[in-house]
Amino acid sequence: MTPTPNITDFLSSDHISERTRAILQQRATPVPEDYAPGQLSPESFRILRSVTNDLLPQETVLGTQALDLAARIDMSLAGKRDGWRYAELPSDIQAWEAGLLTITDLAFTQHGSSYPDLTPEQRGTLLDDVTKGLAGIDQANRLNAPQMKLWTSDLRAETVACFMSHPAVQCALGISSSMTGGDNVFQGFANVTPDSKEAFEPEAIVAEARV
Amino acid sequence: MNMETAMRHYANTDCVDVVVVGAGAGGSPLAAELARHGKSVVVLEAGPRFRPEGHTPDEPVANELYWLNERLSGGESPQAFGGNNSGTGLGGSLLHYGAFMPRIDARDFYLHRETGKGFDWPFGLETLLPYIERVESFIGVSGPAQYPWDAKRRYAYAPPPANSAALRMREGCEAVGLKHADGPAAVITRDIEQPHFGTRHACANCGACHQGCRNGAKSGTDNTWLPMAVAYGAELRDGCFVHDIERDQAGRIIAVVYLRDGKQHRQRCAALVLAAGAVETPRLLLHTGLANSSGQVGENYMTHVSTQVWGTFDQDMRPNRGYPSLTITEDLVRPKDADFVGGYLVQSLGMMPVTWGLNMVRGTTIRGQSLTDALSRYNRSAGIGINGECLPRPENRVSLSDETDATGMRKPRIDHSYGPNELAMHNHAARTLSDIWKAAGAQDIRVIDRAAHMSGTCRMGTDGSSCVVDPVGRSFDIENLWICDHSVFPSATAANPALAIMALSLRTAEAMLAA
Ligand SMILES: Cc1cc2nc3c(=O)[nH]c(=O)nc-3n(C[C@H](O)[C@H](O)[C@H](O)COP(=O)(O)OP(=O)(O)OC[C@H]3O[C@@H](n4cnc5c(N)ncnc54)[C@H](O)[C@@H]3O)c2cc1C
Ligand code: SF4
Repeated sequence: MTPTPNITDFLSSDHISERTRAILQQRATPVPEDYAPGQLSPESFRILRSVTNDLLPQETVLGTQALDLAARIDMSLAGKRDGWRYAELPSDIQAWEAGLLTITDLAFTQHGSSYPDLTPEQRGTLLDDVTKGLAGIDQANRLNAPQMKLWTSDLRAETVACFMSHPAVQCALGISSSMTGGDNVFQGFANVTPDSKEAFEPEAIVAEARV
Repeated sequence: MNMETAMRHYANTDCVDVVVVGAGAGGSPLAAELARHGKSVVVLEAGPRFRPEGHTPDEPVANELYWLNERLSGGESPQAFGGNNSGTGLGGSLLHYGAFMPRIDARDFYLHRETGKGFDWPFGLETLLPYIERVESFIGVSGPAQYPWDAKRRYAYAPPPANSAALRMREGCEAVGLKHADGPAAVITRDIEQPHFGTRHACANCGACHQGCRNGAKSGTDNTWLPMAVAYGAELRDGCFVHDIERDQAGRIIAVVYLRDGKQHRQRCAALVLAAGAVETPRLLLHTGLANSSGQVGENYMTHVSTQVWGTFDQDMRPNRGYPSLTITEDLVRPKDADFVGGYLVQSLGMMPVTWGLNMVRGTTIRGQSLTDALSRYNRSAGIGINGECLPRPENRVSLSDETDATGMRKPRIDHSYGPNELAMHNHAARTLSDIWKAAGAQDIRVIDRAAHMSGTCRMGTDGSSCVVDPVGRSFDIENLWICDHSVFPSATAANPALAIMALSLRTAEAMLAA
């Protein structure tokens, strides 16, 4: 079984500035289990939960402490976006709603059941098809195949951003990118060559991350 | 820094000598140079004033440094902007740039003369070189004692230490027979007192250049040109989004109109410099309908072919540590076996985890446990990447979309499609970089197809029917309008652009003083 990362030491390091610590602590706060989507509709949110699990299974990294990536994406859709979108897609929130509903509809037309109820192989093939721009729905409030290719790129990006920016993930993978230096002493890194982890940097607990 | 307390202020009703729109690579050196020569200068910058100590390596929050008004990305190779987008604030994109500071190769100024493709600069390296050297010496650039591709060149600072990726690239280059060196980096490696700014500390190898340098080691404009501009009496006004330009009967510019704190203001001026970057400068001109008798405003949009190759090593690489992109090779500026014109520079790549993860998911289709495993190998990863010539093409442009944003202006649409030359260069780089990386011991090699930087949308040249500004940056149409940013580049060249943008900026300032 994968050990659970202990992020308390990590977050209290004096190699983290107070501003960065506050950001990471805030992000480390768990999402309530009964989180109700504020941006996406309940149906598309249900699909997003299932899609993010298929896209990025978390067990080998976080054990039983998986992040609610769907909820985090829904929350980030409410905030400031990052200054661009694909011209061929509608505005972000509309694109997310339409993209997820396109996945639902494709699941029904291809297999007669809801996306979460398909077999893992069926879900995988469906995801691969939309990611490669091979499937979509040419209809209002849905995305056609070329649009699905663009939107799944956003879906993949948002999922990975939520994951890699989480302190528990950074801690489990032994990532020291948040530890550039404290406020009083800006330490940076004394060691930058291979195999020269400094004492304050986290040690990876995940097998894949270790040499 | 004492920029705020000591700063001179002008009234909107004062007719200042020069208004500069944008405080990035293009606007800042010119503002300093004009002020130093006694001109009254107001710099209007849309973004905020950041405190260097306040920068955070946390990537989602560090996107406060990016331009955040929505841009629409179209074409067959639409750019995923995000962290790759231009920046905002006093300092512009240099707040989050990578500080890689190569000079343009002399051949790249005249690619058309050499190959019949692309568009030539109206002058060559010898014209720009004195300005390049001034920029390097004023802002602080590190580099090797001997630069293999230019024996005469000297750098004032020793290079920062080579990180894991830089060391691996040295090995890979040696194995495949390419020369390599520590690249020029706009990073200082000993503490200095920067004139008009104060103490800048030596690089601490923190690796977060793209999230903002916290100790002043990275040479931007916020810790060099802008404090100098203030010291000589320029006013820097942050949070000012310029959206209109007023002219008199004769067509001369008399004022600019901007939004600050939701209110509209009007600043009178005798001359206007647009330095808002290669998207916002043409956007402003298209929006106001000015300076476009050539029909070239927004056209010729260019990027750099920025193919990356990543791999996994049997070592703890920790790619977030150290100055990210130290090793360079210039051996491929004209590859012998090229099936394309122009060439590219190669650099080693460290990277912060979110940016790295995003490049990987956007550039591949892996999913499921393989994606989790690939992300889990962050600490064992290192990369190499290129910046390569991108030819101007009629398909590639900045235009106004049908959607309006909160400023009342139509959102810019950027169309970007690779042509045959870019595709051939990408394929060549993918092969060559993979060979280097295999020779360096990398496994799980992954090629990421991407483009970076944005330029060329108000190009300079000698002919007013095919260019927007003349060889010193003055509008062919409006005598007191100048453009001074990445938009004036006639060709992309293989070099990362900031050094040449700043050098051109000093040259434009000189022309304005002489005018
Ligand atoms: C992630 C990244 C890494 C990079 N790394 C390197 C590198 O290693 N080496 C290198 O040489 N180059 C690098 N570059 C490129 C370099 O940063 C840019 O080419 C350069 O900064 C462009 O200068 P500019 O003056 O055209 O625009 P900018 O520096 O972007 O400045 C434009 C300014 O104008 C302001 N502005 C825009 N519109 C308005 C308006 N309407 N009113 C008021 N103000 C406005 C903006 O807020 C901004 O501050 C990098 C760029 C990015 C995005
Ligand atoms: S690596 Fe050096 S130059 Fe870059 S942000 Fe860190 S201290 Fe500044």
